Amino acid sequence: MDDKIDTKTSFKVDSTNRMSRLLIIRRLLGMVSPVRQLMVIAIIFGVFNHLANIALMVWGAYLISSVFIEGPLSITLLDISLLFVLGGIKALSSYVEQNKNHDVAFRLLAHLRTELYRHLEPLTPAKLIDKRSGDLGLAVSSDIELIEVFFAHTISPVSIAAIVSVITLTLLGTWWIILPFVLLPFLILLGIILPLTWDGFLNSCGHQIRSEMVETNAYLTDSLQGFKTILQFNQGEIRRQGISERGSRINHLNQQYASREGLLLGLVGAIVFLADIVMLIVATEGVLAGILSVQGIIIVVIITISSFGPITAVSMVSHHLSQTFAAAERLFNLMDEEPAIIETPDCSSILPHRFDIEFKNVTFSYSPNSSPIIKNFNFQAAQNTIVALLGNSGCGKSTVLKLLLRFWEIESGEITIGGVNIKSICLKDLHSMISVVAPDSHLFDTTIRENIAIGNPSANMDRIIECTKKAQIHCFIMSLPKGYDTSIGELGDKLSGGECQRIIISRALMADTPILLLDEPTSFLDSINENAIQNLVNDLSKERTVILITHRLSSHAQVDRIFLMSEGKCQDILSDNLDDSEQYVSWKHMTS
Amino acid sequence: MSNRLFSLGNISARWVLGKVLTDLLILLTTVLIIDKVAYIVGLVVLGTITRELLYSAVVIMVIILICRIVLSWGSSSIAFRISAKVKLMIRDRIYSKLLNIELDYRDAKKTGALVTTTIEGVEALGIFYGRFFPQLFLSILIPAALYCYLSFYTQQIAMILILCVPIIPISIGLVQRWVRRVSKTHWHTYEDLNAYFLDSIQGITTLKLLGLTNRRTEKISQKSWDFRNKTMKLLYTNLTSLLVMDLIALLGTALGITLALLYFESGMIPLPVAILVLLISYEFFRPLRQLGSYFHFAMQGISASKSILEILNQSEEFENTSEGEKCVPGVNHDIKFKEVWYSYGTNTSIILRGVSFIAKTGKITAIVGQSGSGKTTIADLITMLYKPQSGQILIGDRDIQTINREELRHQIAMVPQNPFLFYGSIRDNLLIAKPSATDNELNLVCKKAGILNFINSLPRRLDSSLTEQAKNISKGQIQRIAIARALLKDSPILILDEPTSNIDAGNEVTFLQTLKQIAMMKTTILITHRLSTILDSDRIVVIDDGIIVDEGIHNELIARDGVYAELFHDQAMNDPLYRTMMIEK
Repeated sequence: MDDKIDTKTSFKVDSTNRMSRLLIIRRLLGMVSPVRQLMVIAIIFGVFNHLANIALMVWGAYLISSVFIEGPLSITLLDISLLFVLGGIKALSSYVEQNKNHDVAFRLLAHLRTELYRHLEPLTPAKLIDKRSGDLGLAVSSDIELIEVFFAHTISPVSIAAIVSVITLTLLGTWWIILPFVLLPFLILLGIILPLTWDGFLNSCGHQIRSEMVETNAYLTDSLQGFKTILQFNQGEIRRQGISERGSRINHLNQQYASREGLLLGLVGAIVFLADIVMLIVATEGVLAGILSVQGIIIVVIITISSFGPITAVSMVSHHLSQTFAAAERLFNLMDEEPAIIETPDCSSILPHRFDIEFKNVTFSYSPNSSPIIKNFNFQAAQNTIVALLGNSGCGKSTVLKLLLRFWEIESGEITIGGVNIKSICLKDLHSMISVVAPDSHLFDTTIRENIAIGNPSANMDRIIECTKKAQIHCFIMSLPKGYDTSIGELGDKLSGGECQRIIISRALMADTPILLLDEPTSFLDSINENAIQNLVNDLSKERTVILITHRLSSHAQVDRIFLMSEGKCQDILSDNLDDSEQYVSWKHMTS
Repeated sequence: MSNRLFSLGNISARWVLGKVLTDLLILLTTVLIIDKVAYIVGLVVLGTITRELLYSAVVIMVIILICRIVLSWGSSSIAFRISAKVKLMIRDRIYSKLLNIELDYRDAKKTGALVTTTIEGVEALGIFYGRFFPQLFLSILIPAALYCYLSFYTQQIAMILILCVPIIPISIGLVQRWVRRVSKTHWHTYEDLNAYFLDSIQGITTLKLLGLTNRRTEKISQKSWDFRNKTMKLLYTNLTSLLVMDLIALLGTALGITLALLYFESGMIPLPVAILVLLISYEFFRPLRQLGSYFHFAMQGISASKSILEILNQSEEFENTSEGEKCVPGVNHDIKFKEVWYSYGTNTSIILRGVSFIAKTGKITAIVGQSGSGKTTIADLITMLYKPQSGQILIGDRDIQTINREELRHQIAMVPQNPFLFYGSIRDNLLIAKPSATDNELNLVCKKAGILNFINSLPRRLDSSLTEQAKNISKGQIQRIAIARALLKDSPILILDEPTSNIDAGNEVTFLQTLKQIAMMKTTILITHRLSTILDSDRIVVIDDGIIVDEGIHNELIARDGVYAELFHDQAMNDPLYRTMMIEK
């Protein structure tokens, strides 16, 4: 157990592995390819949107300057209606652009959420044991939401800005060849230099905010799940302060972040106006030198003023990207985590013919450089028998089950089922042979019926009731107002330990597997229920391999064999001559 | 809805005013620069430009620009300040509300949903208050300011433009009806998705064993797509209102340009004014357009506010009596139940049906009964986690309703059936019982609880970290740490709910000996189904289906051959300890 605690620190370092910006961008872009077409549509309409805007202003300027040059009455109704048409085009293409951008983003987010969960499965439980669920569950959710900024507000604006800028520069070039070269540095500054350097200026602010948010999430989750204890120990005020403190810390970080955003906003605005001023100066000089016409200066100035829309969007988004990249980095690190168990490539899906379980000289430790929790462990459980594994709490009994389920890789020795090494069986098929009733079996936040018939929505109600009757929980369930449709979440803490245990036993009965692992299945049960469950287990063992882990052997247990465990080793006691066995008697004596 | 939203935020008017003024000043800088640009273009076109005029205008513009950077920085900082205060306050209110309302509500709410609302929901609400709210004022003030400015040059055009502005809110109002319907379900879908995701992660090992992760992944995918569809629907409605705004704003701009053109054509305005109108028309509509885009962000906050208000509007079940006598007087800590009836909620089955018993100071009172008979409820009622529908609970002859809740809980140490340990070190978890405890005290209680050897075997001993819900240690170890924590609290009342269910017999014996000693000074209630733990108790209360069916000491109860005998006969006959005891007698 201590080793599990020990490995914790090394994990933290791993998960904060910093990735390079470029790598993150590449991986995010990689995800876009399935929705490439939508993205292209978004970009096309985005270009329309901005060009229509420029055209509206330029056309207006052109008309005004025409009136100036050619005198009154030179304007037709058609000229004027074109203004309204351009306005309409801008509004409509902006709608399509936004629509498609978000369509892309939310499609990808839904996909990402699913992918992430898929990646977590092989990691459990070895690699997830010391991650906080607040960290995993909720922060992951908000991390995913943050990536929206990249998918919806980065990719297409960058492309749009590039295209529109090229068009603008070309247009300016037709008036006077010098003009594009005057404007270009400003565009580069806004579109490339500022976005790339801003991140460094933020000084990993985004990263810190994300970590602090994650911490707060986990703290709040803990504070809500331990609510009863908090009340009983009058910790409410202290927890409340804890939440406030974390809120203040986030606020403090956000303050730097927000004031920098303001600065960026001011800076971008200033650069835009500065560009306008410089262009105005150059154009005026152009007119003074006789190179540019009067109509030229009006149109050049208007083009300049109205062409900065897309490029400022790019500079502003760089501020928000800081948090987005931090979020993406956390997600990628999680997805890249190596599973503790790697499926044997040529694993077999054929189940063994018999279900005798054997541990041969098994040695295991949770981390390579700590003393083994199980040493040269030998253990046999024959088919159609009950084998009890006895030992004091914390001696490694539950670890034995976890190794049989291949949650961790053993260091040496061999574990076999029906003579077949479990390494050669596919994990899925290995698990399909085994049902587990353990203290950490999870009841899901759904109805009791679904918890029992989990994964089998079409399960026959009669069969469910048969199982719950055997597990002595049917009457309790029927006493609930909604019976089998009562939600576990609604019951919350009101479900007693004994009731949980019996629902989990019903679930194991439903699964009806050849191997049944019971880890303290009756610790919360009164003796009447305990006896009933024990009789049930005796019955089940007639056609199954049953391993019973306990620190207290029920008087009703008809175990065929007992293994006494202490300090990672095992002594075999045949149950026929229990009272003759010196070790058993001394253990019993010691513990009772 | 909006009114409640504003009262919820309780925002400082001064800061909002500051934000509005700063943004108006930013507008002023924009207008001044545009004005200068139009002026110079006008001079160039008229041929009266000189370098001197040009560069003096440039100098002024650069000065204005510098002011603009500062103002822009100030505006963001103020917006942040407004939302920061609000966020802190709302989170605090949510958690303190949860502390004060009946536990039933907390029980029924999914943790994932609560966390989502408290963290992300409030974050979104922050944007609402910091950005959207001041923008509401700006969208009225900016067009008004522009009107005043433009009327210097051309009153008629200014008038026509400002008349166009109200068309936006009117048409948006029509669209909003439709939006509101969609947004109602949106936040709930998000909460639900997050709760489901959290549940899936906490149960991932169980799912893996059942071979169900693929199916669960599919379900997550399905829920994610459902959320995406809802988000898109909300977005469509938002985008549609943006489209309406854009159309009005742009057609308004086109109208402005047309007017400039016509007025210029007919000689009513000079060229620089025409250019000015061209450049400034859109500014009339910009603030409303911006309001629309903030609305996109604020939407989440508004829909989250419904969940927040739902929590804050819960009535406080317990009137906490902060006044009156604070302490439970004297050394008498007898616990008396008088005809206590209790059921969870109003329409569920009744858990306790008129329970009466006395637990005396200095004695161990055992409460036994079948699992589900209502034993644990008794403990929860004593600590005032729930409130009985009728009947009285007295401690030292005082109704617990009249005792301050914190004070009451201070008098009680409890080891629940499923003890909860917090993320943090073992030491942190113990210290919540007595923050001032020394290492010696901690070691002593750990020894009494039989957990000291384990703790000392850890590399960092008391400072070893526990993961969330202490998943890195065994249930038995959790239980013993919880016992140590309760012993450390050293309060006059001790309630133990199945304290040894996961503890091996050796440790149980040690613990029971300790218990016997400390129970002499305390009122101890022991909820159990283990015979070995009952044998030491002074009085046994037998509860069956919410009714006290028998009371007495072990031998009496066995002799009566009732529920108790049925429960324990078997255990008694097979328990070697008991057998030896009987033989000795």
